[in-house]
Amino acid sequence: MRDVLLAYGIFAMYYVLTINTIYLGIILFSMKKIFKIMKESFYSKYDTLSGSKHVPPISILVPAYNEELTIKENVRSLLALHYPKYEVIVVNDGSGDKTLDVMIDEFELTYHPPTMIQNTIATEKVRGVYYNPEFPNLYLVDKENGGKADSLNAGINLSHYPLISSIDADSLLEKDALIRIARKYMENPDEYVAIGGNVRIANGCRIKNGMVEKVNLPKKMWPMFQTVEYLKAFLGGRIGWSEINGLIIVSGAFGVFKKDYVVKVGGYRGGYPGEDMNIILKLHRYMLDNKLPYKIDFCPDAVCWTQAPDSYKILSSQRKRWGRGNLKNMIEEGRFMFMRPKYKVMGWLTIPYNIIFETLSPYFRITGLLALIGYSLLDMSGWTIMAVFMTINVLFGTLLGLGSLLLEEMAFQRYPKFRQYFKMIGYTVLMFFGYRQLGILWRFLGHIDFFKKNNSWGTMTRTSWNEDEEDQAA
Amino acid sequence: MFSNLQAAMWMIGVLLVVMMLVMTVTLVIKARKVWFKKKEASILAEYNDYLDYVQLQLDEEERLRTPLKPLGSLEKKVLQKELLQWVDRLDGMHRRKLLQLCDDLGLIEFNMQRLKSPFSLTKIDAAYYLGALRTGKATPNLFSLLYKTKFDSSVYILARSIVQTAKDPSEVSEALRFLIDNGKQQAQLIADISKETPLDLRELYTRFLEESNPSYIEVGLIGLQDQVELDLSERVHRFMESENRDIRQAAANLLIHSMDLTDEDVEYYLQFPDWEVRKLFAEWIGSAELIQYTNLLRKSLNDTNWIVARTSGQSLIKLGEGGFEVLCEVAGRLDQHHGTAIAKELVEEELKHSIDQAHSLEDITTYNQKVFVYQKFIGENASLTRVM
Repeated sequence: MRDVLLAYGIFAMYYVLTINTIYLGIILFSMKKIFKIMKESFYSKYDTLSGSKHVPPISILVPAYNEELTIKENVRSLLALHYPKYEVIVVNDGSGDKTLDVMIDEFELTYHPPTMIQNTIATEKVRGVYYNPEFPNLYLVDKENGGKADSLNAGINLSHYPLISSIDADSLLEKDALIRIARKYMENPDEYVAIGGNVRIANGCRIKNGMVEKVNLPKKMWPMFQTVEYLKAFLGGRIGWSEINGLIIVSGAFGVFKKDYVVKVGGYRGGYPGEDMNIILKLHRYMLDNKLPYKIDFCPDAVCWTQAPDSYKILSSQRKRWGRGNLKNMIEEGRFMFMRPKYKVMGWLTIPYNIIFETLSPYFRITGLLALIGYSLLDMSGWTIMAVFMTINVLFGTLLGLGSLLLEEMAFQRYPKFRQYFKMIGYTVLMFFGYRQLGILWRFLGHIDFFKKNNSWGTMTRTSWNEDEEDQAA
Repeated sequence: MFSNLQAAMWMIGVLLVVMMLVMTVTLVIKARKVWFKKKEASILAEYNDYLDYVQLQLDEEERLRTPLKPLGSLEKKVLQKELLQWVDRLDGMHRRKLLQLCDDLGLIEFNMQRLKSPFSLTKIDAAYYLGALRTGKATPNLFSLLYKTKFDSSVYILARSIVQTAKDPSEVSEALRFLIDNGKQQAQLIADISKETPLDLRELYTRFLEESNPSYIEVGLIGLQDQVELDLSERVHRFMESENRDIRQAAANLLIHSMDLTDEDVEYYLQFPDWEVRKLFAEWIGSAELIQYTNLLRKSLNDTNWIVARTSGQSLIKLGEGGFEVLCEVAGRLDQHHGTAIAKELVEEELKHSIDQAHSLEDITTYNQKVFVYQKFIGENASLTRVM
């Protein structure tokens, strides 16, 4: 029994080490690409481009469900983007709060029957379209509740331009975010089917008129953990995955897509969370099935600021949802690409990595930890092995976090103070003492929800962007 | 077990060393950037009076003087960043004077030296500023750097600098040909880069139209949109039949810019199989206020593509009183055509917009005229009256 537990425990140790080693490889790809990104980011003429008529027009789609607190600032920030030609389509997904009224009042929108909407992709019933010629590039679609994917599909049906951009209603785009993605797209418009933007945590930042005026780290613990987590995932991970065209997700918070191909793959899949990963998987599959040259890329200097959950309850609900969505996507799309030569990097690397080291990780990690604890209880000398394993795990993980912070420092420097750097290192280490384990547990609980067919959205509350100012005023 | 544990201990040691290294590098970069920012602020403070002098003397005839003290490399970097921001915002004599000053400050020589650096980031930085300095002397060096650079985003930065520094269209042509021959279908970006030069590129763009590679044709068509050749429209019409959507779009845009179209041409393109071309022409009639095509827009209100139909309606509004009357007439019909619904929607939208915008007596008179036309064709409308 003791030997079996030890053998399984060692297997689990190597499993975690393999994950970290693969991630280290991905970070090295990111390091390789970072100089190219720095050149693009510092020396491309964004000012000239943002006034150029040669830049492709974009339809920005903003699904909104119960977003009365943030929608005004979000839309105002979108209307102030430095981009030559674009439209903003806000889709009210049958909100139970005053999202619709807030939008109508703020922008003095008037009702029109939904005749201007095409039926390219089937959606829930659209009640009407609101418009004000004073804001000629703003549309508000009011429809019955059908979920985020359904709202995006309704937005596509109204959109007038060949590129679409999905943006969460709780997110703020930097003024030049769109033009930065567009410049990348213009380098190879035939092959780019999707380009993702970089999502950063806005909690703690000073927000004014829908813009991040001063960047700060969050004051609360949960958003702080997510800040270092996002830095690692976006800079350490996505830059590297995009270098080998193996990106599995373009964040729903901000990405640009070629509309034709989104329509060709049937639009966004509704009914389940994880529609952002699903659409990317479908695009990879479609392009590779049809042997079309393509690229799905990541543009780290195109920044979108988002509100991170700041309480245990909301965060756990979000992560369970992500776990559920990931499992559904792997069952629905991933298994068709797993180890199939025709799916190239996706088939040989991205999907196997995702299934073995992401989707199934709760099972290996939880059981491995239990085996090691069991072994240690049976033989007290085993504590040394456990301690060494834990130390390696923490150090390796911290090294990956430090690598991401180095990338951040080289190319972006959003957190210039030394104090901020050390705070981020502190949280990178702290993550291994509870937060990571919770992440595994939430993913596991998400799987249980999936098997129990519990498809509720869970807890989700929004905070006003002006919370700090309101607090001060109070 | 012992050897496993020993290996693990070794691994811990290696990880700790690498972590320390990564942290040190990060902190050094951070410290350097903080130091540079402070230094930059102190240099700008030191040269504040000099920069004020430059601004004040820009309108004067005489050549701008350089500072009395010779500039170090850090001072050159800081001042060039500041001065070239002004260069980008100015043109004509002011720009020429500033560029002359930059030359006198030794910035051209400074960047030419940096172009030889072994570090690619320094080379790109130098190329970027040489482009901004518009120095013809740098063009050959920029070309040799372009040819040695791997084809990625850097080549667009270098090509832009070459186009900015070019003194002859043949140099622009060489840079554009390099991008087209080696890159993907990036015609819009190349056309945007080509706009950086003040040189007349009409002949170059026209030559591109004769090429077999569609990217050349597209760049040529886009480029000519700002440098219209009046005798060109005959040649452009044939590109409207191209199988390439981007070429059709670029050709349609050029035809619209040339304004050299017959009534038959306009009618033909409003019924063109490609809906994007139809939309473009419908939009153009409205924005150019070509009232002679009012009846063609009336027909387009029933276009099978809703975007074209709606654009036609919006253009009718832009045509003024006559266009609005046509829209009301269509809206007042009792048929089930989707054009009727679109017309009605647009008419009501326009009336609401007009009353919101009515600030003067003239505005109110215009609004009343519209209401009169509305009532003539559609009659009293309860919902509209409520809004009013």
